[in-house]
Amino acid sequence: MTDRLKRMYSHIKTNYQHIGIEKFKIITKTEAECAGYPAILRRGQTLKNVLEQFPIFIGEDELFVGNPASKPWGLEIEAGLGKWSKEECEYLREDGFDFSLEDQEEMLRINEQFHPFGMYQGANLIIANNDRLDAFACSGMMLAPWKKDKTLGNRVGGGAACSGIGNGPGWNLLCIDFALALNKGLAAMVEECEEEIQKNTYFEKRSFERGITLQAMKLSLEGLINYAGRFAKLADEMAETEPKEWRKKELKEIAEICRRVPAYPARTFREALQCFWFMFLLVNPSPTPAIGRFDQYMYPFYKADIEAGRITDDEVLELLGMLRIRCMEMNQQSGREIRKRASGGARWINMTIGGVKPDGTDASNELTRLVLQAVRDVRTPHHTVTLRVSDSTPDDVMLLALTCQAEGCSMPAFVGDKSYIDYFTQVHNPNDGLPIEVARDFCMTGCIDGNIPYRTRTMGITMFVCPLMLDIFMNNGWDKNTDMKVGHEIAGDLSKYNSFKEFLDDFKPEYEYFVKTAGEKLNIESAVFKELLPDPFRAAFMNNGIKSGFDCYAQEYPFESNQLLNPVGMVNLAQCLYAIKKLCFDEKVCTLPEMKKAMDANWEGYEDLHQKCMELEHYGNGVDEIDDMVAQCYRWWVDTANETPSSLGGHFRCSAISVTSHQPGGALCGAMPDGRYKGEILADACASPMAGCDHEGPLAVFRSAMKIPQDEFQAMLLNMKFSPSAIRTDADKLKLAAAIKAYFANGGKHVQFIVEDQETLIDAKEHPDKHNDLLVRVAGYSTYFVQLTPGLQDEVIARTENTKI
Amino acid sequence: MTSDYLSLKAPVFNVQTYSIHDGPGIRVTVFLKGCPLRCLWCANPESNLATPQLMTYISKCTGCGACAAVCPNHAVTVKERGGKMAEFTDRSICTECGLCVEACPSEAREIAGKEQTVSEVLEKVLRDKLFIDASGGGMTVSGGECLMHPDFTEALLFAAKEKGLHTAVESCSFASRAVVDQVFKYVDLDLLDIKHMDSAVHKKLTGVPNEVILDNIRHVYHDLHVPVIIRVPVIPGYNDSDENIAATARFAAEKLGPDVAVHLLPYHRLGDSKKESLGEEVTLHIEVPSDEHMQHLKSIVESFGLASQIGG
Repeated sequence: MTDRLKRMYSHIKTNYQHIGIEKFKIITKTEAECAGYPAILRRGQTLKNVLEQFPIFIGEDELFVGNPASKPWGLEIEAGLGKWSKEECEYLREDGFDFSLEDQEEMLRINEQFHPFGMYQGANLIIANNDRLDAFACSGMMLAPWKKDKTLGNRVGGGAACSGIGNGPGWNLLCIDFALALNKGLAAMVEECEEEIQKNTYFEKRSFERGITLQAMKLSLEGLINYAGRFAKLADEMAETEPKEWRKKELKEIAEICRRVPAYPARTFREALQCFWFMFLLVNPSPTPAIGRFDQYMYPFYKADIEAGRITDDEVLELLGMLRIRCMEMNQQSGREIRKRASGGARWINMTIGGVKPDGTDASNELTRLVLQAVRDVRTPHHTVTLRVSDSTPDDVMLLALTCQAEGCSMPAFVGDKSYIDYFTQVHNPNDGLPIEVARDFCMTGCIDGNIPYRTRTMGITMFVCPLMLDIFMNNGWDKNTDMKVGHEIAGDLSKYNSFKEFLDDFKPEYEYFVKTAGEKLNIESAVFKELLPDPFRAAFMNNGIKSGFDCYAQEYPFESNQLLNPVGMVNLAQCLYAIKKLCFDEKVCTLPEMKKAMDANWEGYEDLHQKCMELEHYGNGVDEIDDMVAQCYRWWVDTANETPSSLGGHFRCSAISVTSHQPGGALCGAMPDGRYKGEILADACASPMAGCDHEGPLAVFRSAMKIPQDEFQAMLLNMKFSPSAIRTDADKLKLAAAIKAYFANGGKHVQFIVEDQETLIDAKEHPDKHNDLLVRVAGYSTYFVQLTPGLQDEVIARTENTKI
Repeated sequence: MTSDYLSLKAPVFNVQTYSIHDGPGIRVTVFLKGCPLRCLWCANPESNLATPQLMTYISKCTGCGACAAVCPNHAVTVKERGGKMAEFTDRSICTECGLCVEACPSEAREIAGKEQTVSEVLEKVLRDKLFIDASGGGMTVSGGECLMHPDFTEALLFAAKEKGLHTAVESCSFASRAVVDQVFKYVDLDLLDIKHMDSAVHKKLTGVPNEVILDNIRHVYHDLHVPVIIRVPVIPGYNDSDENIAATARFAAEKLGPDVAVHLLPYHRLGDSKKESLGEEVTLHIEVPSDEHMQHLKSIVESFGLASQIGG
């Protein structure tokens, strides 16, 4: 790290931030002035006003400028995510946040006049008046459980405070066309808007909507140009009084750059990075702001600068490190309850590198390597980096990426080009897919969900607790947690089933019903978002933006992945079905009603049966019978999604990431035949085995995961534990690289390595049953960590510490 | 070789997938039980005897007593061990029948070693062929000592080669010339141990002299033309003197050839854990060699113009 980066790094603040109301004031004032306007025009005007009025400043070491909050490392009260109560404001101060009493008073005063109508209120108009959907929503099968108190009134409690100056809440998975801004410039886009506004005729059903959207797009683009202009002026002023010569020079450069971009095409790497950052500020706030294929759209600028001798790799590395640090400015806080659970809230600022170019050749370049080097230099959790891996990804890139992992950076994640491309071309259903040249341009949005920059977008996703389907089915349609009837009365007296097939024949339609109902609920939510929260800025950079003249919610795309059904705990559901098949029917160890009794008793008094359940084969060991059950459950998921229409066009598609939902998801389930006790956590990720249930090594996990129809999923998360002894040398890493490539060449989509840290090993010592899979790797020797004596476990634990950087 | 070579059997105690330190690429390593040497520092003591053996893992034992309840010979009791209640097995009356292993709910007991056929082992190895091929890997036969089971090892190596696998053998080379000739004809790479260059010291450390071993290594390299990597377990205080490492390197450079690499495997104490699991006493307390010392020894090997690396 350079001295400049060290100074910036030392200022990183991840908690107790300043909380401002500047953005809130501008937005609520504009909303009042524009009351009754079409939503998209209102949102265009609020954005323009924020960009023209929001306080700006330039940090002392910054080489690119633009602040996501009114104070350094601060947050802004978010207008559209619920109101802050007085009590919660006080909690903020009690918990150490910098929120002035004066601002609090003003915000509460504004709150009295300001009545945001949000997603919950909108969706509740339908759900509260439909018993079927209400019971489903309250069960939490689609997380999180719907609370009955979310009535029409404006919910007051802990709202949200976020950084970012764009239109929130940004609950979507998409990557805007950064290259368009870099190469065309926003001034030309404003002109294009104007031309389209003049050319628009008014004969069609949606002519009016288009005319309005174009005006809103123009407002937001003009806003960003003016925002940059304010920085040019500020930098000039600061240069006047700056005593340090070197900084004076930098400020003058910043002023020059801000006069150039984003209005006009970028010419240098510095201009391109500045343009990117301005754009990026406007896709925040969002829990999932995608950076896209940074090493691709930035490369021409890098290359030209290097060739002209305008920049060195060290300077680029410093800028990339600065980008990592500045991404840490993107934060989010909520009310006290949520703060307790997740400090800062989960977020995914994902940069994609590597992979192939549209022509299919290797896309990695010097910038790919510099991004990875920056990951090693500047240790920050955000932004994250995902490396696309194809057959042609060079060894040195794989080595560098695995070195990051071995050093404990916990990034990059690895994703396989083949399965993602096969998803977008829909190899199994080519009429539904995109041309391969387009598919090859995919990037990560959110955690590991693929989307093609500006050509596909996902506006809604649901976390669906799979085992709860079986729990409720076996309980004859009733949810024990809410005592509401969520499903149908089908199972009844369980002794009527004479074979597993009979049981499955009854369960499968109910499975489909539940999945489709989740689709319905998501359709309602997305319809509300479409009405209330369009975003003219994003829309201008998506799918022919200005030419189309419609919002992301309001137009159909060549490939529709606008809404996703996302299963959580599918491995658990499959394991439950497998246990029922084996124990109740094949081996007749117990009857189905006995199994149900054991579940109701939370295994108490049924310890032997519990042991039998645990002793069954588990997914993740390459055993066909159980692996096939998992694959079958995923297959049903895909088939059901394909049959479920999406309110935004096309049909639902599938994704499989659990994020942190396996914990609250598990909490909703009772004791189940997979051997879990009531409320116990579900399997992490979606292609990962249940914790401690794989014991055949990493390749067996790969072999099991390869049986899942991953090509049909927009994401399929696999987490894998690795001991540091397995990736110590370059030779070790290249062997792992070969295994990763083989997995990806044969249907695998993603793998993330968790290199065991000390805490995990300590946990493994205390809870050996959860860590049966942890191997100790030494030449000519084999054992599992949990089989070592306590003394030697301590020694390995101590050794792990030494391998840490 | 007999026509029914696929049904030949040997005691196997592990088929380890994703082995990355026993030859090139990703390998599946087959560990056989039974060894003619008794190295003081043995890392896999459960491989010494060719018969199945009970192993118990005190870390996983919860002291529930399920094992004691089923033992027909009353060999198992539960008592205080290492600050907790845990099983204790009287090895003098245990017949290794395995009933307690089945009864244990915590997977804290295991019978190491099971007679397996060539085809059973091969089937397990081939499951990972995709990854073996992708990484330029193969199958490694280790032990124990595979030369103790020449018919089985020959058959397994032959069968693996039939399936297109690269084959390696990790061996102490202590066997008759006939056995060496029989086994090594289907081997692509030999990982051969030299524990000490002085035969008398070698005998003290391992129970056998080294003349046969050195002779066999020369034979494998010069007459059978199999590529050889020399592996030296570096045991501080026993064989890690500059003189012994230099003598080993000199042997490789002068009696074998310049293409022979010497791998120095630093001693680790993990075998102690297995000794305890077998109910054996740990009598030797050896320090793990420092990184600096290993680097120093590596430079000695390299001074003979040989490639060297630390670890497998």
